[in-house]
Amino acid sequence: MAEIRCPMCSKPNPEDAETCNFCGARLKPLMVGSADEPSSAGAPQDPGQNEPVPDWLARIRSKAEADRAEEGEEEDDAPKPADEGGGSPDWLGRLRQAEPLQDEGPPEGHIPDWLEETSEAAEKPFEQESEVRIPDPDRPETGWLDRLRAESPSAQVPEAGEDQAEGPAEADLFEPGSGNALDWLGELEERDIDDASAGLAAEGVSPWAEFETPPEAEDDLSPEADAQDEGQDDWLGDLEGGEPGGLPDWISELSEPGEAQAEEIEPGLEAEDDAPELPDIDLTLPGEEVGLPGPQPELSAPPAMDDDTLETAGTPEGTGEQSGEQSDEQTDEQTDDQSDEQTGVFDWDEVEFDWDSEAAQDELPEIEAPPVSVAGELPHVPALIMGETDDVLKSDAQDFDLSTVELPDWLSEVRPDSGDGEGGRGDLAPATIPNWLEAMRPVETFRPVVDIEPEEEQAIESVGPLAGLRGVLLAEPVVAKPRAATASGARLEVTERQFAQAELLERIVEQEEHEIPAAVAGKRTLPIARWLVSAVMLLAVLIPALTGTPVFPIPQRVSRDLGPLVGIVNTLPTDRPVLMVFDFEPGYSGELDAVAEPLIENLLARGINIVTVSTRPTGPPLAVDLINQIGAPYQVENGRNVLHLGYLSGGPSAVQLFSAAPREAILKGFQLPPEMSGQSAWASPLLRDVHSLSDFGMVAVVAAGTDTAQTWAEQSHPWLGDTPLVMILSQGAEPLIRPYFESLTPQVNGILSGLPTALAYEQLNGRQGMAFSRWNGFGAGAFAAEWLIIAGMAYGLIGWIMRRRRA
Amino acid sequence: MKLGIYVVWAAVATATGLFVLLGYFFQLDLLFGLRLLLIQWAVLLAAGALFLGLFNLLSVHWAKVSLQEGGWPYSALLILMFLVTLVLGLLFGPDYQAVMLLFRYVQLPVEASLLALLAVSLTLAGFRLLSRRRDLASLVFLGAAFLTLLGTAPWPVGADSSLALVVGDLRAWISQVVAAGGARGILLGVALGAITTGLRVLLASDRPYGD
Amino acid sequence: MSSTGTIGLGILLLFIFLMLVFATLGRRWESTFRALPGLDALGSAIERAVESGERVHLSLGTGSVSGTDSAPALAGLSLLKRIAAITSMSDKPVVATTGDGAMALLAQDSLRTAYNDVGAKDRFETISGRMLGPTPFSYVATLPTMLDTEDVAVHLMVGSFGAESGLAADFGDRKQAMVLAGTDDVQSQALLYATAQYPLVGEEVFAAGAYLDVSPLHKASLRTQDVVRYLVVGAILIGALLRTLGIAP
Repeated sequence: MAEIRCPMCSKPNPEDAETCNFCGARLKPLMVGSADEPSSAGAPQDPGQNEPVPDWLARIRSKAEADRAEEGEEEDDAPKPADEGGGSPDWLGRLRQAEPLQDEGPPEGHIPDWLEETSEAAEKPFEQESEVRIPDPDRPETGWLDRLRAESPSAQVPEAGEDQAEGPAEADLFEPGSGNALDWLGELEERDIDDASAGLAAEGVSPWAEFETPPEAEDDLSPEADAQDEGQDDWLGDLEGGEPGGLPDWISELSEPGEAQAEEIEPGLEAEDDAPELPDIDLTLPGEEVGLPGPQPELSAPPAMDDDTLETAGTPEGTGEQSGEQSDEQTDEQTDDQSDEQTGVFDWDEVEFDWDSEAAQDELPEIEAPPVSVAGELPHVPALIMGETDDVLKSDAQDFDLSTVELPDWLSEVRPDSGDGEGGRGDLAPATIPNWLEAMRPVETFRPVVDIEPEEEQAIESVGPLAGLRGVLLAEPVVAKPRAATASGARLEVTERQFAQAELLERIVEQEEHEIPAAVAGKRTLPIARWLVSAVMLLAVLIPALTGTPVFPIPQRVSRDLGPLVGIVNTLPTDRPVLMVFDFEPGYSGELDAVAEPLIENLLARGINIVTVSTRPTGPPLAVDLINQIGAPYQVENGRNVLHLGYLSGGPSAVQLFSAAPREAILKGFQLPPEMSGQSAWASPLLRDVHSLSDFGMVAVVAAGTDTAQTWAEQSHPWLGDTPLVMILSQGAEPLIRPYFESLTPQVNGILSGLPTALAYEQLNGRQGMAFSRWNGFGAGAFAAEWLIIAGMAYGLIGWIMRRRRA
Repeated sequence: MKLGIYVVWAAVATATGLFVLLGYFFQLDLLFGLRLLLIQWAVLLAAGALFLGLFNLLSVHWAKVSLQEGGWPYSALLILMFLVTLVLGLLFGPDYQAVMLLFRYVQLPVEASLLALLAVSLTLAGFRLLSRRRDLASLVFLGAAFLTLLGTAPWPVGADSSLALVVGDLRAWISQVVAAGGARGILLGVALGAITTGLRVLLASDRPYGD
Repeated sequence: MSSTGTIGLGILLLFIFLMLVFATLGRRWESTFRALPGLDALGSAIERAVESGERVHLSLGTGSVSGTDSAPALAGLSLLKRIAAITSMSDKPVVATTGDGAMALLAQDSLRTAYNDVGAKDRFETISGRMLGPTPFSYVATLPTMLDTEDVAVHLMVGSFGAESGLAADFGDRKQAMVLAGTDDVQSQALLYATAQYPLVGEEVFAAGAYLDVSPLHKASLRTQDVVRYLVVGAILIGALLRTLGIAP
């Protein structure tokens, strides 16, 4: 079955119950603007005007309006209520004009249990004097909070870091108007006051913070949370038995959001085991005093709340430690925005309760009614004022004299604090804030120091559901309206490095916006050195070739390699052809043609047939051209004394294949004579007796690179037999092939390399060939290269020396 | 490519390489014949790969001409001459007179010119070597190059002088002893590197044929 | 089997054994290789090229796949995979060129594999592995145009080259590109030493994979080469000594 929590005592009640079974408070608020309620022309317009309005609030509003009408403007600087300015928008304003309900409040003479318990608790002596006056039930309803304010000095909300003994600003004694002022106090007796007080004191939070926390915070008001108890009893601590940390819902609704605010308001509060849960609220309606609803039963007014009590009452949930610092930003703002004329603020600083005093159990000390605000409206909390009737509301709208209320002894012994708060708070242990909560504390730079104004100076809320209450964080001028940050606001500390980085980032971003012109292509430097070297080399080669001037004499010295080669060639059988392998690129033809010419000429002169082959595609054309050029004087005829086998594809693998089985490696020929068209080159009479590599009279490999020469030397050696292998090489390949020639088991039988050796061979042949014609150009070019290298070396060395000297 | 197919290719490559390699060491007719067969297949594949490479070359230059990229006229000329030579060679054979003319008067002079350009480039590199890389190795390199040139090229004067003989012998000693010895060492190292490279392929660690 | 074959087979088995052992002990026995300036500068050069929107070009040489000149090209393919993975997401990924058709196909396969590995399969283009010319000098003749049109900033030559390598390196130097060149031919190495910015002498071309951490077996191969090299040196010295003393035949 669904349950409804009582807004006063937070006890669960059946859903269909109209009043609370425990405290008698109305569970279902009366709707403002209903048929049963008088319409109010100047009813405040508030966003929640269609929301159900609690009857106590309605009574408060109506009473406040009534008081306002009687007394008029009390304060010049008090904030005008919204309804006076053309209609209060808030539902609370409408309550001011609400007809007092006949059935408001508990029946006369009915003393709720919580109030009875409160009376019992009032028996306890109070450490500090308090002036709590129980409202006289017979007295007409007046602004009891106004009376409290008038009788109690305004207290300041403790500053941040102040002694925890300082209590909140609302230290005015509670002055019930008709004797039922302490009804709400009595209700709190049923709560776990210890939890509230302990929690409050531990966290050092203002008792107001209790109302600023969500209902869930009720559970954290654990009396055992704070271990430090300096002995200051709190009358709220006697209100035991209630729900642990139970705050009435309506109080919770009035609370500011967030626990942090509550923490910051009242840090450093002590936690007392007996800390009461009594909420400290500003029940003041703007500009009006709301009297109590009716004659209140004789109650033992709670002792005057001291700062500790107030602090502990405001402990938010989850806080069980004391803190020496108080962050009272919210409270300071609250006080700043509240005027002194705001009524309804209960200055708890002036309320001191001595729970231990037995006299306090008997009578309630006087509780000063809070000063009446300019609007004169006080929030009417019917459930707190037991037995209050509409008449009381009306009659006591102007004045709620607690002095007429018979307070219990314990309450009478409660004296308000002087307001300083430091004197009597020494024995209270400073509230501690847990580490996790301390970590949530914003940095000092973001913590503006807020001075909490006295209660009288606090403005009265004029809009919203909290209209008429004092000490409320005003929505409009503070929160809703934009305002400039205070001087002590958040200041970003920037180091020089960070500033420089920020500047750099800004420059980078700005550069992105700037159009960067296309980079001008760098001026190409002329390759002077390359041109110079090219010109020198070209001239060196061309001039002797063009002029024909014999600049360089023919060497008389003959290479020692030439003799064996000539001997081999001169001893070759003439009936066996010689295989010449042309394995070089066309680019090397300039040198190798000149080097190979004397050997070919020697072979042709002896009448030895030549068969060519190449492992490169460009080899056969080279062979054809060279043989034709050299063999012209010897009537060389293709197919008769010269035959071209053509291209041997496959690279080194093909060499081995050809060496092992030449007839299988070459199937056709290259530029075969017309009579052999369509036939294989092996059909030629030149190759009639050739079936393997060893059938050739000699194998001469013309190569420019060492790899080709090595391949032929290594791959063909097993199949050569007695056939000599001769290498015709470029000058650069000779050193690496010489070991094949000079080994004990040479794989190469002769070497012919370089233009000088070729020239000497030509001399032996008695003919001047290509080597002779290129000798001068070759010499001049080499001579130029020598001097260019010397010049380069000198240039490099001089530059290095000069740089070293400069360094 | 899935893992299974990749393993097959690796297995084929490894098996082929092992057969050819073992054929060099073991004089078995079966291995010898298998080695020859595989080598012949390799020759055929190399010829086929040559065609694929030429097709790849054509596609690159065709794309250049199509997109009008930088140097596209040269690509167009290349494609034209390629097609002309290909058609002539296919129709009339590589020893056809026209093809020989192309070779004799185009390819041969071009390549000879490039080699001549190499001579100039090498001379220029020798000229700037010590300026760019000033170390002992460069100094020795240039000195050896100078001595070799001096000992190989003819002297305008004193070709038969004793100095020329000494320089000639020095050149022979440098090229046949120092250079040859160093070259031999390099060749040994290259051979070792080639062995390990080939073994990595046989062990399927390096897979140039892709995964 | 002849004695030469036996020795050769034994050396081959030794190679395999050492490579597997070093590959297994690689993690526990870290190897330290001497610094190669070219390979050390390669990483930063590639990064600069990628950041500046320029291309990396890898030349695999003019050697064929079926010959002895395929070894440095295979080493270049390992390098190509690594570089392709790095430059796959750049505006201008790496381009590999060869002078042989079969090597161009292998380059395409390597690139495709590298792109698949990094999840950039859709960024692979077939023409990123191409043959410039069937002969060495025709390959070199096309190189300047390719270097210029492709906006090459890093010019790598890892493969089998002849005398044309000097021209290829000189073309890269004219483009003011970073030229790292290595080959197996000794003559070409001499030419590259004079013309390339970062020449790789000797078998350093085969060490590129180990320096770039292509695979553990690359490092193991390098260490195996070192071990066998010491063995060869020892054998040469011993043989020379025996020969000098007249003991060896």
